Amino acid sequence: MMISKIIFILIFSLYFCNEFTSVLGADRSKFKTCSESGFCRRNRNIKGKPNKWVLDPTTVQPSDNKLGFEAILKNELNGVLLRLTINAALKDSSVLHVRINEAHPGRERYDPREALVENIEYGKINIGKPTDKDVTLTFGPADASHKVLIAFNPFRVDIFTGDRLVVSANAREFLKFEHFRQKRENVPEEEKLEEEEDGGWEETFKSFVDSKPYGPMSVGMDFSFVGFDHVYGLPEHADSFALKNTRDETDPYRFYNVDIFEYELNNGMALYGAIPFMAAHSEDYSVGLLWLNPSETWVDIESSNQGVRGLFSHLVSGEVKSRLTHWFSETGLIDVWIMLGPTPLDVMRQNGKITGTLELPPYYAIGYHQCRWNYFSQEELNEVERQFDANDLPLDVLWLDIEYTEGRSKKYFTWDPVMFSDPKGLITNLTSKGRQLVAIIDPHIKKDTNYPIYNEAVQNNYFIKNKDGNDYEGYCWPGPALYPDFLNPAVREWWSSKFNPEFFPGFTDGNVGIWNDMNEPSVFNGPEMSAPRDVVHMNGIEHRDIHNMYGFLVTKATYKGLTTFAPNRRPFILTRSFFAGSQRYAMVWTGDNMAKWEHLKMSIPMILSLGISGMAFSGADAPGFFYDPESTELVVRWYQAAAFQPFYRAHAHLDTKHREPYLYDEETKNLIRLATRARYSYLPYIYTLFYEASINGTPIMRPVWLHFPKDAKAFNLEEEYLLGDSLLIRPVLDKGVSSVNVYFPGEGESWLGIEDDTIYQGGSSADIHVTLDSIPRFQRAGSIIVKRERMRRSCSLSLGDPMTLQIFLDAEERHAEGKLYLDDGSSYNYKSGGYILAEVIYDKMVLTYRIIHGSFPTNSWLERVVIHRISNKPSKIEATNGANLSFKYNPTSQTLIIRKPSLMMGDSWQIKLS
Amino acid sequence: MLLTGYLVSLLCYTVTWNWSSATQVLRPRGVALQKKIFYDPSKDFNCLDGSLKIPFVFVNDDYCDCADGSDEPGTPACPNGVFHCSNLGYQTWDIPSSRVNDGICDCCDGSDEYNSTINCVDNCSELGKEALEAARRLKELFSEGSKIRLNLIKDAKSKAEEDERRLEEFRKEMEKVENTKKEKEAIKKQAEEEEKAALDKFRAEADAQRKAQEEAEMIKIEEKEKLMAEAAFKELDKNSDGILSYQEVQQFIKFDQNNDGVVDPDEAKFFLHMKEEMSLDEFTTTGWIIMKPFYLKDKTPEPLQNDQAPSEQDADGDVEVEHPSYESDGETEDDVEDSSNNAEGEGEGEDEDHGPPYHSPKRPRPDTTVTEAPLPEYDAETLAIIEKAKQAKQEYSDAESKFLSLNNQIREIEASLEMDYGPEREFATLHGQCFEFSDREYIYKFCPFNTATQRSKSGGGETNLGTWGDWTGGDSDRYSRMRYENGVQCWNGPARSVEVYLKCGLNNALLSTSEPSRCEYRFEFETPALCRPENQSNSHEHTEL
Repeated sequence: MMISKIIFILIFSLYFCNEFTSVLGADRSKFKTCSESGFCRRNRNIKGKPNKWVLDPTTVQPSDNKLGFEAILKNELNGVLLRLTINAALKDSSVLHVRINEAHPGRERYDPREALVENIEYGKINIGKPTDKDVTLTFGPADASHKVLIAFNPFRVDIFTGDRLVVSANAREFLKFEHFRQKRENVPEEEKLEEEEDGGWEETFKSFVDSKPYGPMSVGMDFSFVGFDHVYGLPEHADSFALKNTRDETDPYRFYNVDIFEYELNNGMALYGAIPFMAAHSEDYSVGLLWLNPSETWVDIESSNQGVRGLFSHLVSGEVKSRLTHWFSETGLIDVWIMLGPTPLDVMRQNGKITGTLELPPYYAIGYHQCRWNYFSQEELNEVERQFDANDLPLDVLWLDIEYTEGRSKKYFTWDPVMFSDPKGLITNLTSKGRQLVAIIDPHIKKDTNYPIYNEAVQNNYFIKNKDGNDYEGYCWPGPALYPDFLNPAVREWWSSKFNPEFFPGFTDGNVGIWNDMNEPSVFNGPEMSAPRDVVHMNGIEHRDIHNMYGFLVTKATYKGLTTFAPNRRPFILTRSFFAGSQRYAMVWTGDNMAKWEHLKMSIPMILSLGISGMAFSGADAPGFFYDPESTELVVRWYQAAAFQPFYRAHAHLDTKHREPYLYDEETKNLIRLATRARYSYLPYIYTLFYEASINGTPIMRPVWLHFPKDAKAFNLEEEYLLGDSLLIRPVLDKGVSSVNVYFPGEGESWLGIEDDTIYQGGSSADIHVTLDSIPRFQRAGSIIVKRERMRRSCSLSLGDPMTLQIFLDAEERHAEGKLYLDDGSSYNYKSGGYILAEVIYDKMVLTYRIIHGSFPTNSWLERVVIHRISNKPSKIEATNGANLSFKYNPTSQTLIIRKPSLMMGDSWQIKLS
Repeated sequence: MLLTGYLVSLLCYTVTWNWSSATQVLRPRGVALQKKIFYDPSKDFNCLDGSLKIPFVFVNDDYCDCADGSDEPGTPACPNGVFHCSNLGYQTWDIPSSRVNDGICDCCDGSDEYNSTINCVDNCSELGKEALEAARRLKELFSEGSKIRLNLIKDAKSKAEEDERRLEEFRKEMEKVENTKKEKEAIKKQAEEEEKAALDKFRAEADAQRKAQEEAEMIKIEEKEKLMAEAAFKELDKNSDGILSYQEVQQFIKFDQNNDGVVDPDEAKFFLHMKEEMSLDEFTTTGWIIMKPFYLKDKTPEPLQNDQAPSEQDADGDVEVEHPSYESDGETEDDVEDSSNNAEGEGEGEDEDHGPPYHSPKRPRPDTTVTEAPLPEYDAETLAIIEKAKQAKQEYSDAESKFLSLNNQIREIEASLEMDYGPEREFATLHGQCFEFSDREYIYKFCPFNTATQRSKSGGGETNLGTWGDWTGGDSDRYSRMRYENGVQCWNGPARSVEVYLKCGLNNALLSTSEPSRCEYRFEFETPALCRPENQSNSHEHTEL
């Protein structure tokens, strides 16, 4: 009796819990926890287990390229030998490349070098004379010399820049390298190794059996960031920007690209993409670390205050706060790139030189994007566009989700012959107004012998195989579907050929952007909603070896296709799945979020994490993807926030009510219009930030500490951020508030409230009053922001429009400066000099606009100069061309407005105040 | 010609002005004729919102001075400006001045692209012709349509009159039917009472008879038992002293309850209620009951004992088979709901018409009620009374159905007369008709004032998209839109509903269907009922000179 009652309660509560999670978040049980993953358990529990690697000093020698260092490591327990190579990458030797592989590999491990840029330069490492316990390597230019101290027994690497110890590798002796071995049969229990009994040769999760034909091959190592209390990065996770400790608290941060339904916030569960990059920052120094491994990876983090007594006692004096990290992957190499800073901007630049920077996007890509699952016909798309115009709402891009395909079959590269009978006409209608179409192309291929793409792929053996050699068949949007092996260059070539306008009508002149979704890959009936780990790519490479790179490879092939058939048009590609280096081919969004306040708030830390990890162009669906927003207030706040994020796209789930901005009441519609107009007015500035990102790898949306590295109060900020270096943005992220608290960074700095014309002092906080139309933003003292204050129906139509300079002088009222990058916004002509890079400097009453690079014919002219914090009214303002300029001065706000200087932005010029 | 001077000098760009047109009135570019008075070149210009006064040379100088954009009607300088397209030969309209010189022709006269990369063709007169032609066609449609509409109104009116007439007839008849019903009811009541009394009497007699029979039976059994007890007593009372002592009991080994081969004194006394001895009287009333099973161990069973033994076994055997919880109604309903959820989860459009609710077969419930002994047959007198009552009931029932049917007819007519079929009941004839439209996947059926449904071409039942709700055209044009609501609930969504947009047409036809939001449908329906002359005027727009 009692028992049956208990069982009843149990069943009831289980049922209830399921219901509950299906409403509020992901079905966690579909995804592995560390305790459900053999190699995660083995690596995480390494602490305290016998494990000792020793470097054999007699094997020390220069590496193959004669520039670096090489030696053999030996495991004292099982005699396994590893080859360690250390190189100094980049011209200035500012990145240390540490690589460990088996000395005599029985099976070649996948080398993900494709994720990185080609032809990375290497500097020279000087190998010191080994002593009996260690050897010292030195490298780098004289003014930024670095030192690596390698201890032999136990093996350990301590990295110094100057005299400062920054990173210690294997200080905690967590190095693990499960060598390739043959399966041993009938091993007596007592002789079994940990990896042999712990799911080493076969692992079951839910009903899925992973055959693991190559046995345990995991790799792991610890890295301690000595003297750093803050670490950031590791996208993609829906968690705080400053990374939390995981050890003894929760599971490690997980990287395993999955199609997760309604993801949860504030935890380290794996999402759609993986950039195993971490930045460590302290008041005096910044470093970065890239763990280049595309197999499933976990990162454990803990804090340490140990100094004198602890791990680093022989190397540092006094107590130091450090963050201890432990990285481990299911297979592959240990291939680590350590960016040595010293500033956070340097780290971004160094990472950009290794994993690449984004390519300058077409101008329309930074405008407003309207998407929905789905617009079902070209008439509907035309009507949406018409409504945007009728309501005077700027619009640059319209999107097509999966239902545009023939018969809604999800046969990509086809159009439904009835609903989209004239794709060319549809596209021309948009492009004639400077607008663009983006269409979705997912990598799953419908199993259908009437589908040429399927047939070709079968005939050419282009699909991923089962372990038994047959084509692997999963289930996705089209029903039964197969997955091309994008690892194979021939498959990528074939895929890219499908973007031929003769094959896929409408792609003429590259007039369509592409959205690669579901490329984790998503497999509805696969383990963790993805492909089984033991399915096979080319050359016998297992899916587990490359899993986190699949999405990267899809976008690489798409990029090839778009650039092949429209060689002088910059492609636009959006991807959901990504890996380190994806920014070279595509931009990302944060996947299927929800129309909830918490998700709005989470968009900022997520975009910041992506940005500092190399993925500068990203955004979150506004106003959330799933669900109908609870209020128009949430809608407005989300548009306002998204308007100041790199990617500004509205999207909606199939089950939601239509919510195109023109459908709202007049007030809401007007607030959305104002938010979009506010963004559009800053586009010349934002585009210049994209240019910087393409050169330097700097994010568009930047953590405050990126420009205020010594201001410790900025280290945990995640509700405000810098857009470039001159604008501080603090969107309203909470329901019903009448003020927001803003921290103004930088002792001695000052900030101008754009909305309230008030000057705020750096190093302090203030409560800023907000109303429903507020998007609190502040301009940094001493900066010049180039704007376009005229509106057009799409930003592409504004490229010839005049500009306004927004100047906020420094405290001495002497100086301010800014930059402007201009080009045609669509072609590659900028690569051959068809652009303008100009500096704008105000110094001692002289405003100088000087083109420093390039030349580009532009009709843009200067229509207005607004100078804030100018306490004396000038008597005369004169332009270089001799014209006397009219102006207006407001002594109360100390603002000067110069009216219509009419100077051309294609020329250099000066304006003199006297 | 005085004005030419200022116009040319004020505009930053040289313009080719169409002087040949006698109707062109000079004013700054982008200004509507009725706003001309605010733009007086001989005075400073006041921003139309009154926020600022500027020299007139600042008007249309490609720099935004006024917050409301009124100083730059002809340039894209102000984000909020308005440019007026004159569109000679066609109708005028306003565009946001942000569309001036953006490379897209927005005015049919091309006047918005005077300094642009694009060459706009003036196609106003062409459009004007087309518009005239369209207006002519529309007029024709409305004039044809309104004729049909008048007929519809006439039909509806005569139908309403006919309805009124029938209603009156029915109401009169109703009085009669109601009276008949009342009469028959009274007769029925009387007959039923008589019947009840007769039956009661009959049953009471039968019951009494049966009871007496049972009692006699019982006495018989008891007497038999007593005889058996006495016989046993006689057998056990070895010394025949009329007293049964425990020692006498000990003599019979069958009373050895613990099977140790000996009948202990206690074992023997057990049958004497732990007393030393017992008289015959006491034994027959109390002792025999305990002793009987042991006593009979070595006797041939008798029919009466046979009946008792298996019924005791039943008590801890078969009865447990039944679990009441299996039978609870709640559980069964849950099953039904689950199965419907699954069906809906499987796909859009397949989530309706589950057929009759599915009930899992129940285990037959053991019949616990005792079957009553069949009643003896009725006597002739009772039979006659029963027959009479049966007839009375039948007659009443006939009267009642007549009443109900008539009542329904009356209500139907009343409802039809009360229904809002439009201001002149011009939509009335649509009620009772259905119209279909098919797209690639579905066939939609629209039955005005009734339901809207959808069924898949690949088979399956009809899905109710909504039943008649109300007119939803709003205050200005109430009868241009209908709403059908409370259709089948969508999985994870609202109940389906349809907005039907009506327009004037010569036939009644369902023109198109769409689903702008999930489970919110939109139909377009044309009908002559909407060809009202006043609707036509809505499509006219102001044409400038």
